[in-house]
Amino acid sequence: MPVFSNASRNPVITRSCRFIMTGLVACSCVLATCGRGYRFDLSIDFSNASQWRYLLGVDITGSLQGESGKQSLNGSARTWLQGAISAHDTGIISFTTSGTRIQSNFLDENEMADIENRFSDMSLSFSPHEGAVYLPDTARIPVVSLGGWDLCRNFIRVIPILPETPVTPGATWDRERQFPLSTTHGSAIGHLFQSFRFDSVRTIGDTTRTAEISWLFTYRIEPVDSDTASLLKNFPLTGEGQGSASLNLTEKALLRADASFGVSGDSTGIAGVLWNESIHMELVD
Amino acid sequence: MAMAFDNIAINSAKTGYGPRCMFFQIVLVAIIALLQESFAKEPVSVTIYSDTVIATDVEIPFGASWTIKPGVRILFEGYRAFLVRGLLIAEGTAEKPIIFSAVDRASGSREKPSWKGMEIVGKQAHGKFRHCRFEGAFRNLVWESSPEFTLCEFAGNHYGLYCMRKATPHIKACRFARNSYGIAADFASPLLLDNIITSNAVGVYLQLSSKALLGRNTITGNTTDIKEEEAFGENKSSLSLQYMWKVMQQLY
Repeated sequence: MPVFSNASRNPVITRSCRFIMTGLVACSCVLATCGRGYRFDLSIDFSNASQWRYLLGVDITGSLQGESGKQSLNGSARTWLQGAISAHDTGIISFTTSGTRIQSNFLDENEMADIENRFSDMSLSFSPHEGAVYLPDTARIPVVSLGGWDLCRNFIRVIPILPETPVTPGATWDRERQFPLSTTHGSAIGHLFQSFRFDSVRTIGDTTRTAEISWLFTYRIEPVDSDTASLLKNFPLTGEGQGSASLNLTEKALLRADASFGVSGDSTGIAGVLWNESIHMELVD
Repeated sequence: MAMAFDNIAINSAKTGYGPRCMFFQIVLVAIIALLQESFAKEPVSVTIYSDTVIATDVEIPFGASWTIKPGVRILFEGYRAFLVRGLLIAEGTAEKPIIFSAVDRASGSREKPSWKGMEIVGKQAHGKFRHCRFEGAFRNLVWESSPEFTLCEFAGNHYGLYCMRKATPHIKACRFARNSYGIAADFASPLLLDNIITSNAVGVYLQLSSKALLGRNTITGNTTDIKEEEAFGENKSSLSLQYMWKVMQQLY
């Protein structure tokens, strides 16, 4: 800049230049902390886990095209989740369910009571970098899901997986998981593929900042028992969905998460099967 | 350590429901269950001689065997399951039947189910039940196994016996009454002989690709004696919403 050629000879101009340069550097720092290029640590502070109480709600609607026309079903589950650090692994948060209520237009009273009883003291575990942690013992059959309701799978779909290193807004990360499935018509493997994105940073009030995360996912079922695979193929074997979550960057806690998932019935067997899930989880205390 | 737990006997004073006795048996059953898990590689043999309250889910692991003696009442406190992956022998007599029910549930009660049920799970699981009474369970489940039920009673359950995943239980001279479903079969083939299935909402419920081998059974006096659902056959549009829910929950 031409002004510098004579700056050393004029003390007033020298001070002005220094003031301008300092101001430019300060502005650069401010711009950087506004998210352009600044990396955020998307992590959870487990030390407060015992104070977390969430409401988890799942709504399922489905329909079936039958001989006599279209039949519809719906089911809703609402349960409280109380957090705690897992006794088995300090890197895992365990939530214990309580106060579960089930509503449905087709399950009878005994079946709804059975699901509520099974959910009355259930544990759902979550690792920030693994997502929902399913039962480790693959030899156990998921008895809860036999005609009942597998809350673990709803939980898997609504919980985001966080990146292991600090990331900038716009960053993406993927995750692929497989689950053994044991059904009445043979065994299968569920393939879940999730693609996450750190969308933005929001400021709430004066001091709270949240990271907004979204993701897309697909879920594909692969029958593995050759003698029964043809039976399972009567049902649609793929579904897709999307989710979003808000993470409190100040308190380092998950504030809320939502997911929707749908299956449409393109199968060689049963016609017109539609299945939609809507899952919501919210920190209430 | 394995030797110390062979032939564990559970006994109590013949006065029966003394609180100290029942507490002892509850604690002992819990300890046994915990130790079976800890020493999973060591086979454990347990014999139950008298009334026992079970206040936690119990599992007989693969390789372990439990025997329940005639006249014993196994009573569940809370919504509990009795999971059998090993061997369970429960052979009562006509004078001293073995009872599986819930604490404070009167015999013949029509209240809603009070415990989850007996679950016999896996190809290597086995059970021999004679003169046993199963009451007040949500579902007594047979999954992929072939236990034997002879001269048994199933009353006041939601599912008296629910057979799944190629299970072939032998059910002989048993009585199913006042259940929502007497016997349900989902991709299973229970062998039924000389049974009385009456006063149930549904006597026998055959779901998709199930075959019950029926011979000389009395299936009468139910709201629906036999209900079949065969959407995987010629009529693919006869699938019920209930069955769609079950399969979709298992898959998704």
